[in-house]
Amino acid sequence: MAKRLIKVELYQIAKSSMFFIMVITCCIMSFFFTSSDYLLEPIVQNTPNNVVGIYMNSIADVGVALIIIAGCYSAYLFGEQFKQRTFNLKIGCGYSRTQLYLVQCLKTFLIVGLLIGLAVVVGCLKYGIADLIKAVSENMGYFIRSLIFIFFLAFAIVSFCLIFAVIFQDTTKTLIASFVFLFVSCYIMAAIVTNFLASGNHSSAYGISEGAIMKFYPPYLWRWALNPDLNSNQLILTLVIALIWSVVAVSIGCYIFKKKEIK
Amino acid sequence: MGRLIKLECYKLLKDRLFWTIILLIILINSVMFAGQDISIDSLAQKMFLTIVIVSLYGTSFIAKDYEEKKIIYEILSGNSKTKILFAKILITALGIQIQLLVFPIVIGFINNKFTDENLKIFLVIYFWLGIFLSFLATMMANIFKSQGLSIGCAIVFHLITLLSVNSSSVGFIMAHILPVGMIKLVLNNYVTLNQYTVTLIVWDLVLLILALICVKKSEF
Repeated sequence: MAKRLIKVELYQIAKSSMFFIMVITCCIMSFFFTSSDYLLEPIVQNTPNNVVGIYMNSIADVGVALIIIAGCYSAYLFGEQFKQRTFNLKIGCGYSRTQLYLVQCLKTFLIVGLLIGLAVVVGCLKYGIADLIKAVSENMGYFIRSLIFIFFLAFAIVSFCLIFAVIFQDTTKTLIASFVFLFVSCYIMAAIVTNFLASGNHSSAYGISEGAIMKFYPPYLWRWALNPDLNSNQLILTLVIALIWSVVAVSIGCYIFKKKEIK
Repeated sequence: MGRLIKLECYKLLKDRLFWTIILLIILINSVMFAGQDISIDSLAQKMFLTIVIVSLYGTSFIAKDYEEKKIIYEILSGNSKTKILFAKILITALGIQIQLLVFPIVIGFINNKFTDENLKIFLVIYFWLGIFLSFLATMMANIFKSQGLSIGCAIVFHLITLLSVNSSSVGFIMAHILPVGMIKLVLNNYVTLNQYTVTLIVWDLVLLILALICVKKSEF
């Protein structure tokens, strides 16, 4: 039964002009702000001096802004369904609330991953299509790995915005709350965490853990996981952490969605 | 015009989201500045989130009337579209100024650290920025006529500002063009207060003309 629901959502995305406007906006942003200057001042550790280096730093820099845009867009799409009362119709058609919420999560997972992944690749195209294809074929493993992390880590961060949509059931409040949450978690908190780790000063907020707890924080992992020299244990751990955060956020959201009276 | 302003003022003061945002701004800034020495420079550096929140609220305040078609009642009452637009801009600017300046003023007087000259420059900079944000909100709301879309576009605009001002290649040039980026230049004496004011007035005029064209051409 959920298959039909997924089909409806995919059809809506495919026919939505706003989705394509978002794709174009993200691609343009990535195209303009991806820069070869990343190689002079790299954000990611062990950055190679080629297109792959630009690609990984582009994910670390422009990718964070794209998480905010894609996250707000997903929250908007979810919030609009409350506003337009689409959920009332779907519930009336016999779908369970769990099914509805999980399908929305799947939609968010695909939209966020696709928007960021596509935009980052488009951003790197300005350094030559042939060079990029050559780099992809030579580093296929790294590209697949980074794309998997884009999908899972971005969803781990953005999935919390869906909770705001369920709580507020209003586009404006959802968008403002999502933006504040994403901006604080991706820019402000991640910067504080990075400074703590870089300076080795763990005296105040993270005294007991001595920095280890930051490795469980998805916006920090977003940049950390791009390091090409990570071993397989570290990669698996990153993926597991992303999955745990996603499951927690989806469970909370699903629980609230089931209990909440829809307007 | 007086009645329109009164109406908008009533809507603003009765809007629970307006007061919630003021509380949110005070809360976020209090956490961000906790245990730190507050100066004009640090205030200007860490106010970006406040600027965006305020801008999003202003956009939603104007777009709400278009989305819920309440503007039709104002037009049917015999008010011209231009008057309605100016009343909205005026009250949105007032709301934005209150939200934008509440934390700096409170913290300035509690700490008693700012000299008169510093505080004066800071308030003038943020006054003009508040006006710019209200014109930006008006233009976004007039183009999209939907809260979600106009807020989304405002978010994209502010993120583009952030990325371009921080860009190593075009950052310095963009900081001379984009109002939020110019704040740092004024405080570091790269740009005079007069140049900043003129640039923002130009931005305001362009946004106002665009909003006027949109409101004149649009059907509600």
